[in-house]
Amino acid sequence: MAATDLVKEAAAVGTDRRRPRRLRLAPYGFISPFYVVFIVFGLLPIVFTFILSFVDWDGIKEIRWVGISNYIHLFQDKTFLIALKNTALLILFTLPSQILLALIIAYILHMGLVRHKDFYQTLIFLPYITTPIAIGMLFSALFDWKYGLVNSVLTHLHLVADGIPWLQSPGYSKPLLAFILDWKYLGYTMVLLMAGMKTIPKDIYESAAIDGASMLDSFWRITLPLLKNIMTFVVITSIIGGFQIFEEPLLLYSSGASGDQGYGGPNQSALTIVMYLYQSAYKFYRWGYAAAIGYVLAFIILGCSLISMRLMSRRG
Amino acid sequence: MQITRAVRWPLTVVLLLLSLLTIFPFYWTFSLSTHSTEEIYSSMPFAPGSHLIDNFHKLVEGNWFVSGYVNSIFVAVLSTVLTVFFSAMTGYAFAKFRFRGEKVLFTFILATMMIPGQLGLVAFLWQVGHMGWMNTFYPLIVPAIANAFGVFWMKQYIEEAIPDEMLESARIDGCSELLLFLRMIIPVVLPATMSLGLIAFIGSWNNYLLPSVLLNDPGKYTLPLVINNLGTFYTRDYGTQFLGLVLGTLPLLILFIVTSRRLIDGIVAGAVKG
Repeated sequence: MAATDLVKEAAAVGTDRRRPRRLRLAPYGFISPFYVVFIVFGLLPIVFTFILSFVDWDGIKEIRWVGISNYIHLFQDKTFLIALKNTALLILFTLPSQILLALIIAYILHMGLVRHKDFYQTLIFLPYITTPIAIGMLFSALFDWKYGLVNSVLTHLHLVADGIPWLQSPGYSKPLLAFILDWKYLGYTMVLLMAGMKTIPKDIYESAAIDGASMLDSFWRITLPLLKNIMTFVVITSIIGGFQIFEEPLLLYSSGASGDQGYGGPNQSALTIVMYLYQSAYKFYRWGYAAAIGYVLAFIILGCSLISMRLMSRRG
Repeated sequence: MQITRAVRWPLTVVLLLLSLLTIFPFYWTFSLSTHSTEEIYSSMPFAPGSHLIDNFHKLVEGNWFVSGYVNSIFVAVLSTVLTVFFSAMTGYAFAKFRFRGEKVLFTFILATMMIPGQLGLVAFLWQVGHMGWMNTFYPLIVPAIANAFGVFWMKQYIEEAIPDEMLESARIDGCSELLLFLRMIIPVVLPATMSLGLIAFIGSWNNYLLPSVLLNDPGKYTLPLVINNLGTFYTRDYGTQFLGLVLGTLPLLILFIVTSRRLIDGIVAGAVKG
């Protein structure tokens, strides 16, 4: 490491007369493609979107400057508030259940409480690679009211007389989506937590065991507190991802055997913020309004990330 | 720590049930792909049927599926190669050079990892339209050059994997900086780029949102769009649609089974170090 620093120092200061210029300029050459592409396709759209959020524009007519009225409308817009509530509820349904389950399984596998750890890990991780299309088609077939496997099993077992309207009733939409999202991301969360557990030295557990600590004690007193960093990472990335849920609810309610449930599911109970953003731009051609939704979303995500970071660092 | 059988057996049963739950949808997708639509509508069968060949013929006869496959492979392979190559190049500069603005520029990359991907969406689409890139693969491929996660990942790896002496001796031999990167760095980091490449490939292969708004010529559709539209290309044909899903997932499934350790390690490395 010290050698690296010396070489780097020499290059930076230019003390090495034989090749200072080359070493000074080469890194800029190496990084420039990244920054050019990032500025054009990442930064510019973000700046443009900000400007767009202050205009009224349908893509054809003249652009009209409207100040902050898009933002004001947004908070009086019932549909947006529904989407905001739905998205927040979905995160609340998904995140704690997923982390709890992932934590338990990760602990079981990490401590070697069962054999064939890699086998379980691979299987549980598998859903992570599925495409959102598969999720929409598959789960709408599984939970279809008339033809679905779940209802046919339930009626055969005489647990219910008629099929449960999983996809038709607004009350089921969030638990169902939470189940689907947990199914997809459980393995991902689990391997992250397992990696965190690997960084905890084994001898801490051993000396705790000598002091008479049970498996459960070790979990509460050692594993959990020492997982704080990775847990913060999991919570924050899940919040960032959670607020952007779009494809799963969109596709779940648009490909059922018993017919479409309409955009956003029954009574818009599965309409998320990004779904509404997309709808505003592509169905209603309100580009400025869609841009404002994008910025409000970004601020919500930033706020929630900061709050959870604060909370996580205070505890323990 | 002593693990008694009284603990091990119930836990094993629980984990087996859970694994069953995670893989059952995969099995069932396959099972449905071997049935005719009438069979699916009448009973949602559990066991595989006998219509696999029929469904396959129906799937490939309209050419949409084949062209979707070719398009998806083209987009996913190119964007993966770009991500891996330019992440390695940018990461190498940050790992092995000292230059003015290095800290600021790198912090900038870390900060962009926090920005929600949807933020610039509206203007991105507008911009793509103005560049005349609507209905082309460029907007799905070119942005892969700037992958912040990839740069962060490669920087970490190169810092540890490449000794400075190696670079020094190459420089003394008069090797140019670009050749040095291409001939010496790339071969050394190639195994590590596998994990990053897999993550990038999965992301591109499964991408639905962007292609669905950028591509409107069915001949340009990528696989997820084709599968989703199978019902409108033909009459709604479930067996065929599910077969499309099976064949569309197959490359990822094979890649995952062959490299699952590596893929999982790659995903983890990005998080634990960060």
